[in-house]
Amino acid sequence: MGASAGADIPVEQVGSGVSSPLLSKNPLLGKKSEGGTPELWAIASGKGGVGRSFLTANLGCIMARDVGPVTLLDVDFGGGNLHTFLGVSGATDANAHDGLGAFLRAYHQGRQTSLDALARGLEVPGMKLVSGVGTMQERLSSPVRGQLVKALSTLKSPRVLMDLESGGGEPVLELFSAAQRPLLVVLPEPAAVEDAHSFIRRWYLRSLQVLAAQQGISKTLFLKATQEESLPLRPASLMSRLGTLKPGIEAELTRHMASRTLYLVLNQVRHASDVSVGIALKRAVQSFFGIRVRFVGAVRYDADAWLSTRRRRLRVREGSSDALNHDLMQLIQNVITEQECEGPD
Amino acid sequence: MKFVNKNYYELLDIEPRATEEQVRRAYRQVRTTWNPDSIAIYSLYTPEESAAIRHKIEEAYQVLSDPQRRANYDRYLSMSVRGPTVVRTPEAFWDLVHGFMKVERQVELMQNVSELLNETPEAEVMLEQLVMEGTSGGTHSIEVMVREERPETNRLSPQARGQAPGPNPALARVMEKRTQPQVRERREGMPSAPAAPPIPPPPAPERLSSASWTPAASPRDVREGTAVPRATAQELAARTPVSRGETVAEGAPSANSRKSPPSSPNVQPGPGNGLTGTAPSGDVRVSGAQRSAAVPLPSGPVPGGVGHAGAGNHGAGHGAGVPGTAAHPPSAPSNSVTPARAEVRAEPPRSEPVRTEKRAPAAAMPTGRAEEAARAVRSGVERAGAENALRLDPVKPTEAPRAAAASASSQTAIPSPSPDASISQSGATGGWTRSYATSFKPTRPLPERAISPEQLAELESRNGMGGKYLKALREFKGVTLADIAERTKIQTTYLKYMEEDRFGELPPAVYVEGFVNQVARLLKLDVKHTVAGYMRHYQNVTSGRNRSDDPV
Repeated sequence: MGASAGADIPVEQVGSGVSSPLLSKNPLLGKKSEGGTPELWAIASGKGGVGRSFLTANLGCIMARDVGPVTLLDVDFGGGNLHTFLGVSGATDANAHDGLGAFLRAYHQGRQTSLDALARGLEVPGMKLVSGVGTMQERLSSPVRGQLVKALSTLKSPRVLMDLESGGGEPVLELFSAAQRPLLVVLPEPAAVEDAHSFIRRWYLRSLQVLAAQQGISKTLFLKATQEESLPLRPASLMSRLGTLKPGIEAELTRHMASRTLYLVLNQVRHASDVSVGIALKRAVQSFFGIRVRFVGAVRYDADAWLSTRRRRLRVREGSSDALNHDLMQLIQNVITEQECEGPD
Repeated sequence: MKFVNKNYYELLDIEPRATEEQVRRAYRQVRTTWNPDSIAIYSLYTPEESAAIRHKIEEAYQVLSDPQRRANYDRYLSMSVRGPTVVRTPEAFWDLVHGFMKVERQVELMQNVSELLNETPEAEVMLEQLVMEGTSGGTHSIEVMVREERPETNRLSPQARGQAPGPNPALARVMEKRTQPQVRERREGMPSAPAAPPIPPPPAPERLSSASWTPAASPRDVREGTAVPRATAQELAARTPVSRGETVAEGAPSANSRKSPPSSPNVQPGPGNGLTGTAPSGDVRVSGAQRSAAVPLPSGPVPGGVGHAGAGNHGAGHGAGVPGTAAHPPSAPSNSVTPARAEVRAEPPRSEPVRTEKRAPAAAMPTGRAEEAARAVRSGVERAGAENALRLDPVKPTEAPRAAAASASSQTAIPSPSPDASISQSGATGGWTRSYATSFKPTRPLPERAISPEQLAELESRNGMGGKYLKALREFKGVTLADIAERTKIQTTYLKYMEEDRFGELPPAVYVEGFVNQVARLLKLDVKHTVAGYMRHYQNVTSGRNRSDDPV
């Protein structure tokens, strides 16, 4: 289900100003989330430069406009530039009272603080930003991460978009695992796909280790089992090996992992056939890892995106951005309704 | 889920209800995923693994794109995912292996009755019973089941229909149909069966012990519906009926399957035999005769679409006219793709023999005949592949049955053949049973002339690795085409075409690869090398052709 990329706007008409029926009010998208813990969307990637922050910023804008209030969180400690895409100053200020920098200072000073209080309102109504300005990567220690995850529940927005650091480091994986909607952004080219595989493998292993620990296999034993496996690690083989440590655990772990969902977003799609890469990647990952993958977004390449970025303006608010608007709207719809992009026939 | 456990629909990532166009589309997409140049897989799977996966996908498409074969496969799949209603005993499998009832007749019966009985799951059970019982009181048994078993859930029961107890009209029609000439002729040819014994009370739910069956793949996923999107029985019945030429090796025991289940099965599920081990739990319905327990059918793909892999080498010397059917398939379900530190096996798939243990004869089976039957099973089943189980062809009259005969009065005996071995399509069922139960004896022993690596290399350099090479090797070893056909069940014609590089006359590549695999194995060659070389030659020759069956 879900329209294929460009179903309403052919690729060659990008920038022509053709409007998409999807931009009209959609009853599903119009329904705003009720109160309670915000729904976390984590946007990650296996490598940098795939357009993760660009997508997060513009996705947030459309979400705030058509779905409901949203808070953007830049968790790329030491390298975050989500604020740049949103036109927010990045100048550090020791007295800054917002952003994660302030959160860290409060944490180290032993003060409790609400993340919502540190979120800055933006010109887009319903959209807020907790910037990563003033943070340094080495300060995102495990206790800090734990505190951060707890603090996320204090955000008042029904949805939170977390722009994660690229790669599969432990801080990223922990936040990625904490999200209800973990999105992985990939480009349809070999290096990005390969790095996406590496990311998924690390995320898979981490998740498996946590599950195994819950089933009584210590981290030490788990690590030993993984070390005994030859590289590259094969999930099926690792499962069998864990099964020797505790009878019956293999089926249990397989079942749990099969319920894990990963949302795949293909960015900078230049040709309709690139969508096939997304579908192929989804199938391959599902088969190899035994997890559920939803191919939810195929975002077309926008030749004018760099102009908006240079001007530090949101691309979706610029003219001739109908294609991007359409694709991001479709992405949101697919994630919320658990639908997927279809490939070309 | 591992590829080895996936059925054809899962391999193509489609629902069982998918239309033909959806099947084609899915195949195109899946092929793209596993294309050798696909960037989606290159850092996950080795080239060998992805080749093995492509092979399985080809296999799936070959079956699902053929309406007849898909119908067979659907029917077979539905039996395997039906759940705990029917449980088969190892004895029933024994009977299946012997093939006491002509398989295509089973299908025909099931089809006709299922149409009448609205194909409820219970109806399927009863159909199976009808098939099992054949002509000897089967319908009576079914009537009893309709009346007495689960009346509250059985749509066929008068109670469920709000009617007074009485004969089911649909069953009455079935009974009438059975008196029609063509049916009567078959029935009359069958050995007379004893009168229906008194109906014992239903036994306690029976489950095959895990100690008895070693699951090759867990049927639980299949039963729980996590593996297979279930099609309703009606949807499956709506498919094209099976034609005469297509048979289904349903796991139906013989007409004389009124036996007590043995304490332990004699057949070990293993790679290639399609047995997935632990039978589903649930009630075993008994009526008039001990209901046999069903072997859960493989959730993995079964080449040819239907049937137990290894369920039986039905008849000796068959050279079935359907492509890829008489021969061992290129891959048996759990064999071609097995996790070797991975989810798929890199080597080309091959059929492995079904291992059978010597079975203690059933209580009433004469010892001598039981032993001969056991030998028959061992030798026959060892050459069985799923395709063989599907396609039963009439045994040629020249192949006299030599199987054990059983007295008609014995409830547990194999039906006794008529002395003149009247084997024909309309003849005695005993003809079919005997043909299968006959132990396979080649007409002559296979020459054992060895070939040195130098001689092999010389043959390769002289002939390439195509058909000429195979022919040269065969002739060097003094093996005839008939020798190979006899043992592999590949048609002599196909063997001849393979040697003459007449690829247009051969079945699709996936089957050709299987043929070469078997031939190489029989001739004691390096299987991998031979298959790779031949298929390379095959691809080179056929690459320029416009294949009309290519969906792209």
